[in-house]
Amino acid sequence: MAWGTRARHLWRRFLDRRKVEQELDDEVQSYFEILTERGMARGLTREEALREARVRFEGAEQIKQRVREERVGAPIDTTLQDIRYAWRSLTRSPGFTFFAVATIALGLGANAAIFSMVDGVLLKSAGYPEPERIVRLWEKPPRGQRNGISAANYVDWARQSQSFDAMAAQTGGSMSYTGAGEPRSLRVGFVSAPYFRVFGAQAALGRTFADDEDQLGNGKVVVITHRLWMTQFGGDRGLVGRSILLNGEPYTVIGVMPGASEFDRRWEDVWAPLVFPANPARDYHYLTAVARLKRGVSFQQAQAEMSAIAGHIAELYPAIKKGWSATVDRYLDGVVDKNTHLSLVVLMWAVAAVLLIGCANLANLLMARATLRAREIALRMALGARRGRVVRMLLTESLLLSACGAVAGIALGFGLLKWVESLLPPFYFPPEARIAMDGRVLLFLAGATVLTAIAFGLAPAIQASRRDTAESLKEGGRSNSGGRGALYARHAFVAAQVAVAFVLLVGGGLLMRSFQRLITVNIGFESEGVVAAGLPLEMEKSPDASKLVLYIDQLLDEVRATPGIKEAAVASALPLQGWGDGMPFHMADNKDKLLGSGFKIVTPGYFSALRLRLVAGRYLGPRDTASSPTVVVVNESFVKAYLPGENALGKRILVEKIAPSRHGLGPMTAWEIVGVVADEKANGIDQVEDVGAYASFAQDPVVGLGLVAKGTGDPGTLIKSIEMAVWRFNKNQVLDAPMTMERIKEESLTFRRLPAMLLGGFALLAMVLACTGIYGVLSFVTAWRKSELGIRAALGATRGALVRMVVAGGSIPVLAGIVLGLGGAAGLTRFIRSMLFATDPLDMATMVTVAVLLLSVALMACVVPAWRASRVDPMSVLRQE
Amino acid sequence: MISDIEIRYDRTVAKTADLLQGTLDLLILRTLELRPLHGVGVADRIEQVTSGVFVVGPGSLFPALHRLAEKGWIAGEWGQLDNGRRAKFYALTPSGRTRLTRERRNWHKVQTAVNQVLAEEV
Repeated sequence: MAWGTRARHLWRRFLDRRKVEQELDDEVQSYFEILTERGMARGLTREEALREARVRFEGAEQIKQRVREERVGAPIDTTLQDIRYAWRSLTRSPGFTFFAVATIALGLGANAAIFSMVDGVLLKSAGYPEPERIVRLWEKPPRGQRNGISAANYVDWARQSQSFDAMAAQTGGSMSYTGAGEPRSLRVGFVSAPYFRVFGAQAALGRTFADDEDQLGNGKVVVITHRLWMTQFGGDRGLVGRSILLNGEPYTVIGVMPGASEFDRRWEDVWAPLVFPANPARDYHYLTAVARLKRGVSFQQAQAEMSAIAGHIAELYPAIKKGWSATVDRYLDGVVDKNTHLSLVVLMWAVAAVLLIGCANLANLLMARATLRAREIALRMALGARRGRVVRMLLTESLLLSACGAVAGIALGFGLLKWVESLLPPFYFPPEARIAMDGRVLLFLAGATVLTAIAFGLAPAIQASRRDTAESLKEGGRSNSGGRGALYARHAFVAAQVAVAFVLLVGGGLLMRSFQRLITVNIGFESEGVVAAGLPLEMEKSPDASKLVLYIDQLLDEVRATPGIKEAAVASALPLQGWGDGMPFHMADNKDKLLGSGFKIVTPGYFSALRLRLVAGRYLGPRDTASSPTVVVVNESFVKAYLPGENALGKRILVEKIAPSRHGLGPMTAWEIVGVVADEKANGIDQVEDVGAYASFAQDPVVGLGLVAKGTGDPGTLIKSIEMAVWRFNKNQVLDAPMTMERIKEESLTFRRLPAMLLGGFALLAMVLACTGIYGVLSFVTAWRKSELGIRAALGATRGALVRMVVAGGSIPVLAGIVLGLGGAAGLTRFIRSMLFATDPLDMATMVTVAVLLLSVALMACVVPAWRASRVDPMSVLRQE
Repeated sequence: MISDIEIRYDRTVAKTADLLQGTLDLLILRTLELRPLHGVGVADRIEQVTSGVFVVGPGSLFPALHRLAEKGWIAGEWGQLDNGRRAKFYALTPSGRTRLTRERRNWHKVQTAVNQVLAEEV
C-alpha cells in the first residue's frame, strides 16, 4: 500500500502541525462559506444562512476533531496529549507527585539493586561454552558423599576413564614473587594441564598449558590473570615468553587469561602445572577435580564409569580404599552455595514486598485524588469521553509517575548496589557471577515500572470512571468518598500493608537477632591485639623437616624480639579459617572404629598468643620435640564427641603423621593426649561443635603455614613491625594478606551480616511506607467525616473523645494486619531457618518486639489526623452544611 | 446526535457503520472519477445522483476525504470558484483509479450475492 504517502502525512502531521491545522481550518471554513453563500442566494440573510448550516450539521470544531482522529498517527497524538495532560496535572500537585515518585523510586531502586545481584549470581548462564558438560569429581568416602581426591587416585581416574574430553585436578597454594621491590605472595592454582580445556577457555595473550607440561621434569611455566598482568606487570605484552622468579625459581609466563572473565574473578593470581611425583600418595586427599564430558556421554554414564573405576581401585588397595567410591556433580549446581542462593531469593521477595506496599499506598492516594477530581472526570464523560478514554488518561498519569520513579530508582539502585558491593569481601560471590546494572536489569526495571503503574493505577482509574456522572455533577463540588465500599477497600489495603511489613520485620528481626547472638558468641580465644598472615615458604615444593624447623624457629625468634610483640607462633591453619587438615584416626584402645577430627599443627606459642583457655592437663610446650614422645592437645568438642565422661588425659590416639610437603602421609603414630583446651571455633563462629586436636610443629613439621602474633598498640603499626622483622630475617619471605583477627572475624560473618542488614533495612522501609499509608487513609477519612465530627463536637463530644474515636478507627486495620502478619510470619519464617544461628524461626521475643514496634509506630501515624479531627470547629462545619 | 449520513427511507440501516464507511469511500471515488470537485460539490453530487437517498454531512465527508488523501487515492489542491472564493478541490490519482476499479468489482460481487440471498424463495 501507499506507505510512502502515509509516512509523508505522518511526518507533516508532527513537524508541520501548525500548517496542517491551518489548512484544515481553511478547508472547513470554505465549506461553510459555500453553504452560506448558497443560502444567501436563496434570499436568506447571511446570519440566517449561517444558522441554517450550523443547525443542520455539526460544529466546525467537532468536524476538525473527527478528521484529526481519522488521520494516521492519531494514537500517537492521543498519547502525547495524555502525557501533556498528565504532566500538567502532576505539576499542579507537587507534594503528591514528590511523595509518589519517592515511593516508587525507593521500591524500584531496591528492586533494581537486588535484581542485579539475583540476575548476576543466579540467572545469567555461565560464560563457558556448553557449561552443562562440565562436572566436578570427588572421592566418595565410606560414610559420606564427597571427599578430596588423592593424587594416585586422580592419576588412575584420568588414565582409565573414557567419558571425558578433559579432566583436571587442582589444589591451591601460594608462591612468593620476588624481583620487584617488596616480595609479594601470589595465590597459585596448581592445575593439571587440561584445566583450561575443561572450561573451554583460551588465553587472551599467549597460550594455556600444553598436555605434557604437567609431567615430571616440566612445569616451570605459568599462566597469569589479567588483573595480575595489569597491576604487577603494567600490561606489558612482552611479558609472555619471559621468565619471572617464583619461590626463587624461574618460571616462564606463557599466557594471560582474558580480563573481565570468570578467570579474572577467581581466587588465583597465577596458574602453574600440578606436577605429581613419580609415586604419588593414595592416602592423602588434597585435590579437587573438574572434567568435561565427551559429547554424547550422559551424566549418568559418567557416574557409572567413575563408580566402576573407583570400585576397581578399592579392590586393589583394600587397606586404605575399602568402601570408597566416586561422586560426579554437575559443575553448575555447585557454583552458588545454598545460603547465598537463599539469601538472594529472600531479599528479592523482600524488595518485591516493599514495592507492593508502596503501590498500595499510591493506590490509596490515587483513589482519594480521584474523589477530589470526581467533578472534572464527570465533566469529561458528560462531554462524550468514553470510559476507556478516561481510564487511559488516568493510567497515563500513573505510568508517568512510575516512569519518573524508575529514573530516580535507577540512580538509587545503582548507589545501593555499589554500596553493597563495597561491603562484600573479595571472592564473596562465585567467579561465574557477573553482577552489573546492565540491559537485562533495565529491561526488568521497565517491566516492573509498567506493572507498578498498573498495580497502583488501574483500580483507582476504573473506580473513578465508574462514578455516576450525573450524581458527581449534582454534588456541586463537595468531595465524595466513593461510599462505604471504597472505604473498606482502603482499610483492607492498610491491613495488607501492615501484614506484609510485619512479616518482613519479623524476618529482618530474626536475622538481626541471630547475628547479635553470633557476634557475642564465645569464640574460645581473645582476638584483641592478634594479627595473622599466610606464611608461604620458598622450600614449599620439597621441604626438608629439620631445615624447616630451624627456619621457623629463627623466624619466630626474630619476630618475638620485636618491641611491642608479646608472642608469635605458626600454625597449619589460621584461627577461624579451618583446621588445615581433617584426619581419620583410631583410639589406641579401639582400633576398629574409625573416627575423624581436625588436626592442626602449631608451635607452642599458638595457645598463649590466642589465650586459648586450658581446661585440663597442659599446653604443648618447648619440651615436645622431635625426639620426645608424640603428644597432642584436644579440644572440648573432641572430648564431648569421643570421650564423654572419661578422663581424656593419658589416652592415646592413632593418627598418621602428615608429610612435610603436606602432599602425603607419614608413618602411623600414637599420640598421647596431654591437655584439653576450649574450642577455638576453627570452622567458623556459627559452628556449634568443632572437633579438633593440636600437634606440635616440632613433632610433625609441615609447610603451608600461617603466622599468628599478639602484640600491643595500633594494629597497623603492629603489622608493619612484624613485616619488618620477617624481612630482616629473610628479605624474600612473603607475609600473605596480614590482617587483624578482628577483621578476619568480621569477614567470616559477612555472609550473615549482609542479609540481616539488607533485610532489616527493607523491613524498616516497608514499615515506614505502611505507616505513611495508615496516615494517608486516616487523614482522608477524617477530612471526609469532618461534618460528622463537627456535629459530634457541637453535641458536646470532648477533644479527647474525638481523638480516641479516630485512633480506634485507625487501629482496627492495623490490628487486623498484625494478626494476619503473625500468621504469615509463622508460616514463612521456617524458610529462613538455615540462615538463623541459635534462633528459633518462631522466636517469641522477636515477634512480640516487632508487633509492639509496628503498633506504636502505626498509632503515631494515627495521632496527627486524630489531633486534626479534634480541632474541627463545629460552627464552620455547620455553616458549610 | 443526528446521524451525519442520512438514509431517508430507513434509519436503522445507518447503524451499520462499517458497511457505510466503505460505501462512502466508493461513492466519493466514483464521484471524483469524472472531474475534480470541492467538498460541497462532492456532497451535492452524491445527493443528486442517489436522488436524495444519501445526504453526506461534513462530519463524515471531511474525515473520509482526508482518509482517502492519506492513502494516496485522491489528492487535494487549492483552487478558485467562479465567484473567486478559494476552495480545496479533490481529484482522483492513478492509484485511486485502480482502487476504484477494484472496489467496483467488489461491490458488484457483494451486490449479486446479497440479491441472490434476497431472491431465494423461502
